[in-house]
Amino acid sequence: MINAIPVLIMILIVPLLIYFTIKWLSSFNIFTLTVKRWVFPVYTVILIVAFGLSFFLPLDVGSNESGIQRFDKEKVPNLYIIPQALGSVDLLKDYKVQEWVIPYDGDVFGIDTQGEEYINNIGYERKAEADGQIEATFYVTPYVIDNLDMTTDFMPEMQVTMQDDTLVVKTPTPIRHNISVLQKEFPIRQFAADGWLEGLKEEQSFRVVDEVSSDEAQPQWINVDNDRIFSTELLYLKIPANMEVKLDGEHHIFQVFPD
Amino acid sequence: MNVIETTGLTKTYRRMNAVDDFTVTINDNTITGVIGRNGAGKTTLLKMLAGLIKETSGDVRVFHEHPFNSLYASANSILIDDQMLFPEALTLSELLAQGARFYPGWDEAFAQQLFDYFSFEPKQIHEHLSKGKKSTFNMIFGLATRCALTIFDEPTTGMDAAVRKDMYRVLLKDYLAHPRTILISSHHLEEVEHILENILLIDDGTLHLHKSVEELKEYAVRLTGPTALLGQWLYNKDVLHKKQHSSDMMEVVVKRDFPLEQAERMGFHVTPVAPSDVCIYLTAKSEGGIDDVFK
Amino acid sequence: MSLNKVTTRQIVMKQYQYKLKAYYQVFNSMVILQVIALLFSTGGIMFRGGRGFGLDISLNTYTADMIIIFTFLWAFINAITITTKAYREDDFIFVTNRQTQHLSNMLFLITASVIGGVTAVLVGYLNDIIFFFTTDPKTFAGYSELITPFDVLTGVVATSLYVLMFCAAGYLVGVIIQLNRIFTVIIPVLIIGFLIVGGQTEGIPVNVRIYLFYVGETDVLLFMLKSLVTSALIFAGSFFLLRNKEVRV
Repeated sequence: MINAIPVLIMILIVPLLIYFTIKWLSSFNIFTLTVKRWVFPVYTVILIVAFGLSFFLPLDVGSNESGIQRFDKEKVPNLYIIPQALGSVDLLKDYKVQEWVIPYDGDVFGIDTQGEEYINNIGYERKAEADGQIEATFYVTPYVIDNLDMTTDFMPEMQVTMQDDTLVVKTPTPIRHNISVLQKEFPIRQFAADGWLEGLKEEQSFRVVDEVSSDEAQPQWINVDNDRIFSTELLYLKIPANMEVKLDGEHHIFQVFPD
Repeated sequence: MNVIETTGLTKTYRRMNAVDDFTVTINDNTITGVIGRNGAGKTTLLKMLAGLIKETSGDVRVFHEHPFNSLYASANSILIDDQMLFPEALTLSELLAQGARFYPGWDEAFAQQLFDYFSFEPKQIHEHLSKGKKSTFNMIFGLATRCALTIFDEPTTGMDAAVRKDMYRVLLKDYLAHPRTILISSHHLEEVEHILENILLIDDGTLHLHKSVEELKEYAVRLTGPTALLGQWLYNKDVLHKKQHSSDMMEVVVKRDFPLEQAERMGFHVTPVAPSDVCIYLTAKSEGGIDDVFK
Repeated sequence: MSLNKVTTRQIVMKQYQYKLKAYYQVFNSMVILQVIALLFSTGGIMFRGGRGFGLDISLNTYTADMIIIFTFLWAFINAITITTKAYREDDFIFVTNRQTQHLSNMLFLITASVIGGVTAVLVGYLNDIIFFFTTDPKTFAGYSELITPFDVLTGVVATSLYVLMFCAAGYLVGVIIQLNRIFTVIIPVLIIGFLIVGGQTEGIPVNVRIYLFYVGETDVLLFMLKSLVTSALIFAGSFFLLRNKEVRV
């Protein structure tokens, strides 16, 4: 019933308001006969000019300064599961964000994360050789809303350094990322947008709940849920053959064994 | 050809018969005055003829068609009254242009001449005209349509005397030049009498009489004489009006259905009665007149 | 005395042309309403937030739906207006009967719907351009969905058909009010009652079903069929009610 109240207001009050506004406006004789005849033609010309101009402005996603891109894949790898499940990170190269090569000659090191973000998903594999270099790679899958990639290329940088026998991961202070998008009016979206009816039903909260998120058969993939794809992170380390990672109670650190 | 035929035509508003069992036939190319007091049912009758309102019972034919929802009747008839609403968005000259588009017989030159003669401005809006000016414009519009049936309901409301006289002259001249069937309603017969051929007298929604003006002039006579003598003589005569001049002199208006010499022989003073007075006497609510109220 | 024969077709076309001229001010009120709607649509309609790594995301979606809604209201109100005494009686100064009057009104409303539909979609572009120039370019991402020219064309047709349905509905309401003034009270009461009762029924409420029937239709051809049949039925009903309406009473 709460749903109906704004509708009632729309139906009853707004037309009245508009009706009286028009009455009130037309009660002034500011509109001479000539003005009255030219209002509509002038308006039409303005509209046509605006329509034409819209083709020359960077109004499409990807064409303007904001740098937002469309994300067209239906699913992204779940970084929490992929490395263990597949025993490899080769698949993840599209989602690589930063990498570091850190020389270290000890045989064991611990991991410490500092800063406002927290990385809890740390995997490592042992390289075949003992070259005294830790290769760290940071992967993040994008946060997608309405097929728009909201994160890739916008993430602040993170720092990974070795201090004594501790790999220090300095996470960035989150920055605010405001984006404005335009949608065409609903009679256009009605026939053009995917999942229009489902969206409507959801808006009216009568959607039959069917789980679209975790596909039981393939948990390593994240599907679009509710027009969104949630972000996952992975810090992946390749450590020399002779080295050990000190496990701690704070981080989820796991070893990956490539085939 | 009969332009208008009604039989038992009745229109009821809230159980009151505004027009009651009205049967009349009007020929083409006549000019008829529809006379009656205010509220007699003139307007209701005319609106039914124009197809604006629908009869409650009985039958009405205009050009042999039922005028309510007949395009044929609408194209050949028009009702001019002071309730006509013209669109506010159009200027007077645009209204005339629209008239020309809709009415095949429209006389543009005639309309334009009268428009100029009565000094209308082309850019004026009908709504902003004075009452008299509105009536004048409406009459010009009605005449210019040259509709085979042109109906005027109290067309001169609000006009000043000079314009009123002019308009009736225009009406008569135009009628003579382009004969058609014209109905004019008025509660002042004397005002229109000189242009009328026939008179339709309505009272209380019923037809009282439908005669030519000539016949109406002969319809009644006024007799003046001693009260005693005249009163006795009036036995089985049709008395329309009675007035006591003094205690022994009386004036009566009687229907003229006897040889006039009869009355003259009795020594009564015989004078003719104007048609407009006949109408007033015929539709008077009670015998006597307003004077009786003060007795 | 000469009598003139006229055909329904001739008179309907004459009345239609006359109405385009005489009812011209309805397009001025449309301009006013759409401009008001343009001012109203500056607020975002949807805000969504999220947390990515190192990012506090907020996505504001803007749409000129308000312009469409206002155009619907305009259509509804103006259709009521042309059933009022002043407009209905205009016709009877010229040659008419109730059938030609109704047909020419319908033609006029169809024309108004097309004009309303086309302008509403075009004002959307004006809205987008204004938005483009008034928004920080760093945050402006543009159209979130891919819209092809064909989609826009479909949108114009659909908007016009929506507007036509609102015209038809307004016309019917106007006609009912002309039959008896009491309906100015009864109709709003019925609508409220309908929404309340509709909201209490089992499952999906009737009003939502109606909404989904039109707005939820994603097949253009089916939508055209639905909206045209709806409008035609409503117009037919209006004519049926008004066929014996007297004028200048």
